[in-house]
Amino acid sequence: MLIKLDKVEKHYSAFHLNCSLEVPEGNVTALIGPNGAGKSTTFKMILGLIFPDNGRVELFGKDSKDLTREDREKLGVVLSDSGFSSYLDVQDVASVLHHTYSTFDRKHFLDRCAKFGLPEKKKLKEFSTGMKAKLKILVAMSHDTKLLILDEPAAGLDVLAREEILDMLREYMIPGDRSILISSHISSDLEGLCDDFYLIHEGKILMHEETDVLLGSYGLLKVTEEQYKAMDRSYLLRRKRESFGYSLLTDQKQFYQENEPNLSMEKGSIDEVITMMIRGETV
Amino acid sequence: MTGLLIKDLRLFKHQGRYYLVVIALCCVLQFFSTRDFSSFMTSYLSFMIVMYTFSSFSYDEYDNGMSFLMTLPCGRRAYVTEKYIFTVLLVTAGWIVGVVLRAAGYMSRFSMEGYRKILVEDPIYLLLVLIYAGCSIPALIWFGAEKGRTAMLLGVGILAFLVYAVMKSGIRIPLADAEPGLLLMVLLILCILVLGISYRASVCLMEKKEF
Repeated sequence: MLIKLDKVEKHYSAFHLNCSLEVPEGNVTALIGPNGAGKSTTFKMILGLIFPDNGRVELFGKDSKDLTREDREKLGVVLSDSGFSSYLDVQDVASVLHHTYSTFDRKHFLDRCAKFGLPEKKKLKEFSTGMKAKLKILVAMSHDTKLLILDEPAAGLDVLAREEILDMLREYMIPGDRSILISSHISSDLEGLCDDFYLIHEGKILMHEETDVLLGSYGLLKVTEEQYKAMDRSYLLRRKRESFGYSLLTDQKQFYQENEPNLSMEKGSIDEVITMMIRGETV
Repeated sequence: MTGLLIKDLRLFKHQGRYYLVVIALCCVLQFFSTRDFSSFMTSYLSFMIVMYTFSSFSYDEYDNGMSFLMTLPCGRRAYVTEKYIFTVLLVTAGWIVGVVLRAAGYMSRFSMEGYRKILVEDPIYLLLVLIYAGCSIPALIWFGAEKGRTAMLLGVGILAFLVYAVMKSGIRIPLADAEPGLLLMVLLILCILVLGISYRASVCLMEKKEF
C-alpha cells in the first residue's frame, strides 16, 4: 500500500477530519467532495504538513514520520494553493530541482516546459493561471517518482491543456508500480483516469467505490410521488425531493432496469453521485 | 539543502540591482563627504543584508509557498539549517564588501595609521549583526515573517529600554573599558552561543509547526 490513512483524526474549532483511506500500488485514486469537505486537509495530513490528533498515516508502508530523504524523493506533489516562489523563473526552478532530486533530468524538464509554452526567463508571477498549473505538474513529474499526490492539478487549465496533462498522467501509470492520489473539481477528467474514488464530506468519507462500478451499476431514477410509493425501495441509497417527485440514487441499476422498466433511469456519473450522496436523504 | 540554498541565492540575485544602488550610495557618502562615514559602510551594509535574509522568509511564505517547500525531500531540519547557513554566508559576504570599501575609502582620504586604529570595529559589527540574526530567526520561524517582524521590533524595543535603564542607573557595564581584543573575543563566544541555542530552538519550533 503506497498510502494508508487509518482512522486519522484532526480537530479544529469548526472542522473535524475523521478519515481512513488507502491507495494501493498501480492505482489512480480520486478524493472528491465539495469545497471545505476536507480534501486539502487530508492531502496535508498525508504530506506531513499537519499532524494527526489520532490515527496513523503511512506512506510507502512506513509511518509518515519515519520517511527518509530517499522515500521523499519518490514523491511528486502538486498543491492547489502553493508552489515555488513567484519571484523565481523556470531556469531557477530547474536549478533548485537539480540540487534537490538525484533523478532530476534538467534537459528533459526544460524541453517539456518549452513544449508546454512556458518561457524559461519569465518570472512565475507573470505566468497565467494555466501556465502556473502546467509548471506545477511538470515539477511534480520531473524526477523518478513512485507516487503523485495532486491536489486540484487541472485548476485553471483549458480543455486542450487538461487533455495533455491527463495523457501525461496515463503515460506515467504505464510501468504499473506507480500510483496517483488526485483531487479535482472536473469529474469528467476523473472518470476517464481513476480506478476508484473516495467521496469526502464534512471531514468524513461518505463512500468508496471503484469507478467502473460507479459508471456501470449506479443509476439515477426520476420518479413521481406515486411511482415512489409503489416501487421496491430495497436498493436505493439516497432520495432527493424534486418538483416532479423524487430523484433516487441506486447502486443496482440493472435491478430497476429489469424489474421497473417503466421508471426513467439516467446513467450514474461522479457529479450526480456527489450531489445525491451529499444533498439527498437516506431512504 | 543545496536546492534551498540555490533558491535563496537566486532570489537574492534578482534583487541584485537594488543592492548595487545601495553600495553605490554608500561609496558616494564615503568618498565625497568631508566627514568619516566609514563605519556606516560596514555596519549599514551588514545590517541591510541581514534584513534581506529575514525577508527571504517572506518570499518563502508568499502564496503559501512554505507548504510546498515542506514537501521537498530535504525536510524541516534542513530548511532551518539552510536559513542559518544562508544568513551567515550572505551577512559575511556583505560585511566583507563593506570592509573592503571602508578600507579603500578611508585610506584614500585619511591615514593608514588611522585605519589601523578603527580596524577592530569591523568584526564587532559583524558579530553584533549575527547575534541579532540569532535572536530573530526563531521568531521568524515560529510566528512567520510578518508577525515575526513585529516580535523582533518588540524585542529590540525591550533591549533598547534595558540598555537605557542600565545607563541611567549608573551601573558599571562590564567590558565597557575593556581592550578591543578582549571585547572581540567575548563577542565571538557570545555569537557562537547565541547562534547555537537559536539553531536548536528553531529546529524544535519548525518540527512542531503545521502548514
